[in-house]
Amino acid sequence: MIRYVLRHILQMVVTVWGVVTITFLVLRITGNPVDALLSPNATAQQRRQLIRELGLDQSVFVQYGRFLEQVVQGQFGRSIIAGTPVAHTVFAELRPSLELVGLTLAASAVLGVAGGVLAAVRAGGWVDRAIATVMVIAQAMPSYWFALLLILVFAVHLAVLPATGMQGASSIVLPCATLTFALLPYVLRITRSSMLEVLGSDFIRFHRAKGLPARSILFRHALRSSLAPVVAMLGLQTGLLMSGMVVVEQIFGRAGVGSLLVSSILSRDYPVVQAAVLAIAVIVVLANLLADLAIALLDPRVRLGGASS
Amino acid sequence: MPGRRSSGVHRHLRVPPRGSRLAVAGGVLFALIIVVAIFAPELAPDNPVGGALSLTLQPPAWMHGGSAAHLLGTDELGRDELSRLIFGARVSVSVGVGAALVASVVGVPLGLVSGYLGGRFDAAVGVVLNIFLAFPFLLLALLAAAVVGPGASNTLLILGIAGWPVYTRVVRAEVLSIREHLYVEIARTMGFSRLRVLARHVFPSVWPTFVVLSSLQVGQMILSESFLSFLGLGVQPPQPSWGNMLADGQNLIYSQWWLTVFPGAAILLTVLSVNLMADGLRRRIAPQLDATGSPQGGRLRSSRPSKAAATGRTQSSTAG
Repeated sequence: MIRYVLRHILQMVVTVWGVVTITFLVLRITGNPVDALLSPNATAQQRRQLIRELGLDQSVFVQYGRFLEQVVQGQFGRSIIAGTPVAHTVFAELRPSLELVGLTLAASAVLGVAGGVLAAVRAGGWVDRAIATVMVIAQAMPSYWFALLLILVFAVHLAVLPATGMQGASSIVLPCATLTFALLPYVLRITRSSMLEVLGSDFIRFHRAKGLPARSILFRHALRSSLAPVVAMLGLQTGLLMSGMVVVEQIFGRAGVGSLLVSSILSRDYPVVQAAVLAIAVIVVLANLLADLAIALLDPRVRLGGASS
Repeated sequence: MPGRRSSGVHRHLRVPPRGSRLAVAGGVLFALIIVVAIFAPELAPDNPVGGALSLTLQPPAWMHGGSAAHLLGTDELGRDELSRLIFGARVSVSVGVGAALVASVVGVPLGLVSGYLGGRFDAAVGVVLNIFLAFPFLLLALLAAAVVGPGASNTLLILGIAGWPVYTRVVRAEVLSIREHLYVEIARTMGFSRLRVLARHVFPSVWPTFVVLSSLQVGQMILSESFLSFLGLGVQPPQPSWGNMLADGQNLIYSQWWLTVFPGAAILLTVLSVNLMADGLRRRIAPQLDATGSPQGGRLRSSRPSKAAATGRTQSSTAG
């Protein structure tokens, strides 16, 4: 088990390094951000000074080395626009984002597993088909449009929930509903197929033959054995969830890493962009690590056999 | 491969009429949308970029104050909403299909070579794949769009280049199992070059997977384009795209709901039609993929044999 955990932590470090490197490379494609930062009629001296301040006069390798050093030390310099330390800014925005993401994951897990089990138990019936239809629509739904429709119905017409802002607990309902609807098809589908597979397996047949009551078979044995792929799916889809979070925070006017990322991209505040991307990458990788650990706890074959992929 | 589809198990898996009717409906609808996109200048009743300020914010024709001249109303610059939607189809279809193609041009060869060669090269590709899969695709596209600059052709290229990992992952997994087949081994023993074995013997077997995956990706890319345009980093106004129309509509959601509802409905219908078509194709020609286009898993009865095949595949690949 310890080797299993260590191997996953090592993979995690490699992945975060990779994401940081890609971000660095993408941001340097244009050469320098100076043109975007200075007005077109800036003097050559102002230009040179800014280039030196940002370290852009050094070679790419030196810049990359310095950048990695900063990342390891947890320092990202100062925001080009606001002048405040970047690490502070990003850290402050992390909490509201994590609340939204955590709540969404919980809601998707509960609704997805419940719906998936229901669909599996009634496979082929009208409940199953109704759920499948809603999921096909959910998968084709642009999340930003769904968010706007929710605002239209619940904030504009019914006026029961706030459209934007972060005041009170009710303000998280619509953002969370939007993201949950986007995540649900994946969780529900995998629960259904995993459940069906387990329900058709020999050990369930054995329990039936033993005369265990149907409910106990379903919840005690079948559900537990079919959860591992569901947890893996939740981990895998945190990436999707992060993209959704960016647009949802934007639409509902919520503070968070997503809104910070968009505003810093639009204002070309590259140190902030880099730190925000790093924060998102760490969230994704941590979610996958937690998922892997949960799977190892759920399924002894994984932690003992080492047959994980 | 021969006889695989006609075996007893697979006859039971034949598409139920219900599902295939939906798939055909999806295909027909998407074909219609393509036609609309191609003939946009002929079909649009009005100029999509030129409006009259005397005609701003008219409601759809069936509402009070609407007129038949502007069936779906006008936006805040007095431009005909229907015409803008029709021209928006051009952007969605061309960027969606184009980006999926570009992504496959990068991703498929890499998956083929990596899966076939195995060894260190494959391991390296695996590490890079894991990194890219941890980097949310849309965020990577967002970053790249900020750096490269907005516009329809940039968006197409960015989405295409950022989209390669999906193809590589799926094709690589597929090739891992195909290369163990007898006919591939025979081709190898006969002394054909690696390139020839890959192109003539391995690739044709990946073809069904490729077709299904590409059609699923078209839907994803249409969603992604509208995502970028909605955030102001994709297609730029005044050129109409469903994403930037939605962004305009968002500001007027309290008074002019139709400016929000119509562009979004257009995106939903288009992606839905592509997905239905892709899912029908999947069930018919590549049942080993699951509904999201990933290898392994699967639905209902097909899940068990394919799972067995999947585990057999990993065993043989570690042994080989």
